[in-house]
Amino acid sequence: MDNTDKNFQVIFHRTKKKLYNFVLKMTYDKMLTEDIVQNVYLKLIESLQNIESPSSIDFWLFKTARNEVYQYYRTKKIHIDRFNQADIDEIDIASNESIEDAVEKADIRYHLEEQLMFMPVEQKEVFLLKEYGGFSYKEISELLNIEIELIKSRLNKVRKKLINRLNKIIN
Amino acid sequence: MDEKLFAKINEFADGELSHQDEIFLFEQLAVDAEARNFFRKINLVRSVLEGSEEEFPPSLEKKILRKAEVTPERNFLFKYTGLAGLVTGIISIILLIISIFLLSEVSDYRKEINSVISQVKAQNKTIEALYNSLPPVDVKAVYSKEIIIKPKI
Repeated sequence: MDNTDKNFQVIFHRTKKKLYNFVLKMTYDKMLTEDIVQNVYLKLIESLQNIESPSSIDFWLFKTARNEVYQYYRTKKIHIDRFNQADIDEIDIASNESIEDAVEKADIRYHLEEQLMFMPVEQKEVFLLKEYGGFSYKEISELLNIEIELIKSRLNKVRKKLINRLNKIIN
Repeated sequence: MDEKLFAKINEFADGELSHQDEIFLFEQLAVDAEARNFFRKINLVRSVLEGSEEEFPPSLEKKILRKAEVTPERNFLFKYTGLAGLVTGIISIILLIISIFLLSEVSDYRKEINSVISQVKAQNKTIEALYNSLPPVDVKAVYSKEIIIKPKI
């Protein structure tokens, strides 16, 4: 195994979960997500030697993934399937929470994800890059090529919508 | 709720609030029940969505890692790219052409030398045959003149 292989494996294991979740929440299609994630990592292997600094790899990965998602949106008139209702059997219960709490949390999660799913893509992607990508405002600004103030505004809008939905569930 | 405070809560949730602003935010939260409620809900939203992260599918992981092992070998020839790679490639091709040319030249010379050697051998045989065809020669001394030897005292 040469250095490129080792580097790739380190990057892959570090980024796979967050990249997968970012693409999944952008598309809500597991098959499509798997295709996109696979393409992104294969492109990374080809471009690994051309990426100058290791810190820009996350940036490169998310930008490429985003481009792939947008390309898919452009080429296909995509219809996003409704998110499946949380199955009671699939709910993970942490040892320190009761079944009622876990079910309630799963219910809240379902409603929030549904809310997120129907948000405008430009708002949703900023939120996902922040929550799943863990990027700073500055990095998101460079990645999407928009002003920091616009990022803050989009994040605020998303959170307001999510909290409004949360209020409806709680009430 | 004040929009400025709302923005500060968001920035705090994003980990982008300065230490000074954090102090200001917590002072405000202490006196503003509505802001506190909003702050609590933002945290609830974050914790709920954090728990919604799905695990990376093991089948996809295997597929990607398997392809990752194959791809570098496939790309071995294209490993050295850029201007230096291009120049190296061109020089290699030129050297290869020169080598092929020299090899063909050497082969021609070898053929010529072989033909010359065979000609020389044939000529040698002819000369030997000519020598062998001549009649034998007897050399006899002629005693027609006397040789007088005088002492010099």
